[in-house]
Amino acid sequence: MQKQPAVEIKQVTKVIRGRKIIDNINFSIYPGEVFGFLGPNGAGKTTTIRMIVGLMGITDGEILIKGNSIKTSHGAAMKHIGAIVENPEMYKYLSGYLNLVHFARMSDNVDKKRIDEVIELVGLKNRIQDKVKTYSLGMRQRLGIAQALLHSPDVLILDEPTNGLDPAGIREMRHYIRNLAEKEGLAVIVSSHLLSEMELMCDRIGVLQHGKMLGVQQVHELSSEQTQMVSFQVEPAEQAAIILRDMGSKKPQMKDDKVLIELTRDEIPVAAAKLTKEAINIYGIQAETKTLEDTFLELTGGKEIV
Amino acid sequence: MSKFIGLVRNEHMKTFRRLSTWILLGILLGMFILIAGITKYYAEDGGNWRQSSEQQVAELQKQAEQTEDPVYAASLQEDMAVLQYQLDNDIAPIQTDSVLGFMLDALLNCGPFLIMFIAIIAGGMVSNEFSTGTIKLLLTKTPSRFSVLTSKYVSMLFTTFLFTVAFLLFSFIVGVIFFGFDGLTASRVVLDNGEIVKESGLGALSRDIGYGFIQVAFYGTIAFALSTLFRNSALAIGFSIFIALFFPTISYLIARYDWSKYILFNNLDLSAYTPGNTPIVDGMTLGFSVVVMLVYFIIITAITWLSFIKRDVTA
Ligand SMILES: Nc1ncnc2c1ncn2[C@@H]1O[C@H](COP(=O)(O)OP(=O)(O)OP(=O)(O)O)[C@@H](O)[C@H]1O
Ligand SMILES: [Mg+2]
Repeated sequence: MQKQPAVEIKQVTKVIRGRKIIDNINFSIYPGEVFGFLGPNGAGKTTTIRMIVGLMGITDGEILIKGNSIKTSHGAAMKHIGAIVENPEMYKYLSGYLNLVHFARMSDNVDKKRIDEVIELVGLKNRIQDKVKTYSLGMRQRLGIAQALLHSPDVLILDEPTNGLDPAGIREMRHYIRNLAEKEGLAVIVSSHLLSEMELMCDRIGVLQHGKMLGVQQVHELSSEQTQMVSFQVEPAEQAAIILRDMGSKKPQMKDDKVLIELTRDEIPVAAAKLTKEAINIYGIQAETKTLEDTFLELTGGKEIV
Repeated sequence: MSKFIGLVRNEHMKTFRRLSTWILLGILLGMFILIAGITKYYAEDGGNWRQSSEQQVAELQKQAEQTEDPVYAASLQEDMAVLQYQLDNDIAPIQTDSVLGFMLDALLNCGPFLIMFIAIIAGGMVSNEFSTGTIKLLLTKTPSRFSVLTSKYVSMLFTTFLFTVAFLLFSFIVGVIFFGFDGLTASRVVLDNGEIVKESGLGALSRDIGYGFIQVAFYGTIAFALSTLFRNSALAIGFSIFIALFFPTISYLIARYDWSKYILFNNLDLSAYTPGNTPIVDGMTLGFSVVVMLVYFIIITAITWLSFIKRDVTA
């Protein structure tokens, strides 16, 4: 990914009434990728998103949207952003259509045709003339997306997009988001405290806790190329441990009649061959995939997650 | 510029697509019909205005002879002078059961309701966006916070104008339906500083409506500012209406202090400078009040706009 980043967050800090809510975070999001913003309640996800879209001031640092500083050129930066911050709140006493007309008037070059196009895209055609107060949460979520996509932005920001949706709705939302990134080349930022959901939808995940960015991980890299814990059920175990001593990055461990060792995928058959050569009886080999969940728990210290 | 007009249109759409706005206009119309009905019911048989004026003069004369209060006697003398002037110069007084009389009365009695209605609308314009969370969508588009707030303010002024026009139109239509067109061009005679002044009734009405608009717009500005500063519509609406209703009493109590002329609310009603009225504090002039209003306007809007542009949005 050597493209020009769509969003750059540079050494951003936010202090509210003397409390450091966000502490010197740094990351970039590129066109065509879905970036997940993961963290427990109160980690500072919404605060960061509010700063990206200019709802909150930045105490220190800089945020660039396609090279435009949100601080100094709000208009130029916001032209590229479509966002839903927290809940998809709309004018309830207006129809879905008038809500879109309202936001179309606030943007450049959004004509009637584009409004109809977006309505079609989110599948609200049949109910668009009804008042928003008669909409279900899922329909409001769709209208929120329609509003965010109206001016064809390059960056889509969704704070907890699946909040309150049923499983079918979540699947559909995931599909939407992947589509927008892959087919339309949008940079998408989503936040969530549900890891399982993020794993299915994101290309990269940044883990935030207590206002600090603990790390950014490539989702697929994590599940295939990284090391994983492999357990060998062998006989005699002690001897096997000695044979495997110089493999993997860490020392093998003994547990009952099993030997546990951290290996990459490619090292597993090599280790098995070694054991066979030394006439060790192998009864079973089990790779315990280290999931994002584990990484997440490791990174955030497990206990403190609400 | 076309974008700014779009923003104002948005605000208008939000005001006039709300049922509550139409209910306020409905209440206004209902009030006029009620007052016109009562006026018509109790109106004395028209007959001859000269006879009734002569009768009144005689009655006032009797009272003046009996009273020992010199202030009261003086006011009776003034009333008599007006009646006598009308009789001598053959100027029919404006009848309460004529369309012109009804419109003048409506303005005097229902004007405060106009303040209340505009305070209700202006006091919710910004704070409602915060309480519903829609402010987040409003401020994450290309228009600057300055344009967003200014478009809301312009829309508020325009709504005030529309309500004032509706006020005039409703009272005219109701007046004509109940009392016909008679007496539309009647003249008004008032005593101003001991001198008789004769003015056209319609002229006085349009001048008072104009001053009324300024007063209502300023109360709207106050409600709008509070709504923006405190992001709370109940507070903004409540405070504005409270001041509009109770300040006259407070004002009367502190009128003997010269500094009270610098209080904004003592300067909002410019009709105090029209013939037949006296300002709250001696020595106040129309020019003085206009300057005081301008100074307050600049301070209030500067604080309001600055706060809206600078503060974090946490809704
Ligand atoms: N306006 C504010 N004043 C003071 N503290 C605030 C304010 N807004 C947020 N915070 C604090 O900042 C921290 C981060 O809040 P934020 O809403 O960004 O968390 P989050 O990651 O979005 O959490 P959640 O998963 O619950 O949505 C919290 O500790 C919160 O109490
Ligand atoms: Mg949040």
